[in-house]
Amino acid sequence: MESDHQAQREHDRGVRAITHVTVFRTEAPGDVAELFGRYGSQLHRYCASRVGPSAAEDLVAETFLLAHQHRATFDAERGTVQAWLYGIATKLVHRRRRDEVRGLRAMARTGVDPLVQESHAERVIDRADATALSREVAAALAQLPARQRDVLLLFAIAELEYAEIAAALGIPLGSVQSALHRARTKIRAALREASRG
Amino acid sequence: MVDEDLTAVRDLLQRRTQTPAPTWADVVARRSQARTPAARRAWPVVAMAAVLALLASGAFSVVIRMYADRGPDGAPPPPAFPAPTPTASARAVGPYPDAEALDPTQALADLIAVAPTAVPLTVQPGQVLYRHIVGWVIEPSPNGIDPQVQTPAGMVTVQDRSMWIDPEGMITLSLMMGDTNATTMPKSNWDQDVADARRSFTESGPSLNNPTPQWLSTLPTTAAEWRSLLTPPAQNRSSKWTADHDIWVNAEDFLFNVDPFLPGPQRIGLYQALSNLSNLSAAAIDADGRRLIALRYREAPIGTEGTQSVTTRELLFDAQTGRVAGGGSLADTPSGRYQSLWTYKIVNTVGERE
Repeated sequence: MESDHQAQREHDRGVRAITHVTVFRTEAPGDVAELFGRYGSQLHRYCASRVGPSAAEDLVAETFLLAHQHRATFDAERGTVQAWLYGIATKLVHRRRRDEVRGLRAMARTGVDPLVQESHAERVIDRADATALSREVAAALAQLPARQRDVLLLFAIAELEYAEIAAALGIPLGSVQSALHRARTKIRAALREASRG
Repeated sequence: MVDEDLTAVRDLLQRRTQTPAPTWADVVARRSQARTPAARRAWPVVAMAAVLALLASGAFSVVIRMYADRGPDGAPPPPAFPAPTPTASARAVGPYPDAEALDPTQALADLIAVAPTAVPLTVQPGQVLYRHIVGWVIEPSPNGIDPQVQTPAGMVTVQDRSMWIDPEGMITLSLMMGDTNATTMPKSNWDQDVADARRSFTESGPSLNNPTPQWLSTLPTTAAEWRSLLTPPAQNRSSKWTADHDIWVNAEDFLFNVDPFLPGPQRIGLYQALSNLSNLSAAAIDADGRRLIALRYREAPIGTEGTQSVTTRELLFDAQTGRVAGGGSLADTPSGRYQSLWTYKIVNTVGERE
């Protein structure tokens, strides 16, 4: 029997029997209105976290309409419908990458989120309340390579599992694990920096 | 704190995620505005009310046709929902209905009792494992690859999959979807994926991710050890699901991967671990004269109980041998039913089926 260390290392890779081909899946695109009922809210939350709530509405609408247009390309062997939808949404987020990064950099500088509609009074309060920690985290997020940011936010906000992230982004499971590890290492470094004051 | 970095990221973006999500009516309205950007009033109020009424009735395909007919600017209609094309030659036998409900604890005890008869397959160097999957999905939309057949249960898509696997690491070498070679499909990164999988196996050796037939005999034989082995560490677990869910999902993947090679003592320990899970149910199925035991696990994501559809996951076992025979899932909506049967064989080369 393996040692605890060996078993631990295996768990770190995710306990999945299939390394690069997801075999049996449980859904197909089907009716898009029903899909929206099932996944629309969570996709909106994810898109809003990346590009703000205003742009997220357009992104979510575009995601489901593209999903319907391209439903013939959905491959149940490669992932779930949920992962497929997150993959479409993430590609749409990439088109607004400059806005996403600009927003994070503004938060890092000023403590104010330019992608959230607020009154002037609320912005003044945000500026005063913004901590060194939140600014450091915003800066670290802005500096992440695109893939690491994708993986981190699919894990942290969308709460997808490793295999789902791999299917969404069309990358191997090992790449998900290494990208997530690197991204989290940088965020933790930012937290340590912030705690030094 | 283990996840302080994730907490910090969520806190940072919290304000953005507090806005209510749009409804499907919002999406439809936004779509109509996007196509007629200067003509927000071009959609008559009466037409929109009719759209919403049809949405409520579930007749979405009718909505799209109406949309196409009434586009005020003469722009091309949006893609229509194509009618499914029944294929008379497609075999559609499943999903199989339940023959009788069973007590899950007793069902697993019965499988454990016959498990010693499931002798592991032996494989010679260079041989590959051939896995054949026939699956049935109740859903209306064709994907251009799999045939569809109208059945009393609904329009069924028949998914025929053939896979050839290197038993050293359980690395999938080739995949056929019916007559379509998945390894050569557009945007397939197959060769790179296989190379990555082989490199990972070479670097790390056998594991639950990359098992080998020989390595399987070193695995646990008690329920408690299997539970520990199949539970990811805390930092890798999603807050959406319980540990039982993770154990079930990991056991599913593992059994799908290794069932033909799994020795009896390890199989018994794993089945005993499954019998300790909550949210289990079981049923007997008659699959063309073959008795199968369906073991099912049902759980909603934490915090969503009663608020959204739940998918129940299913493993099928051969009642006579205790081997895994298939898998599937059941959703609370009609179009979510999926079931598949799996068969395994040792062959000499990729492409062989006999």
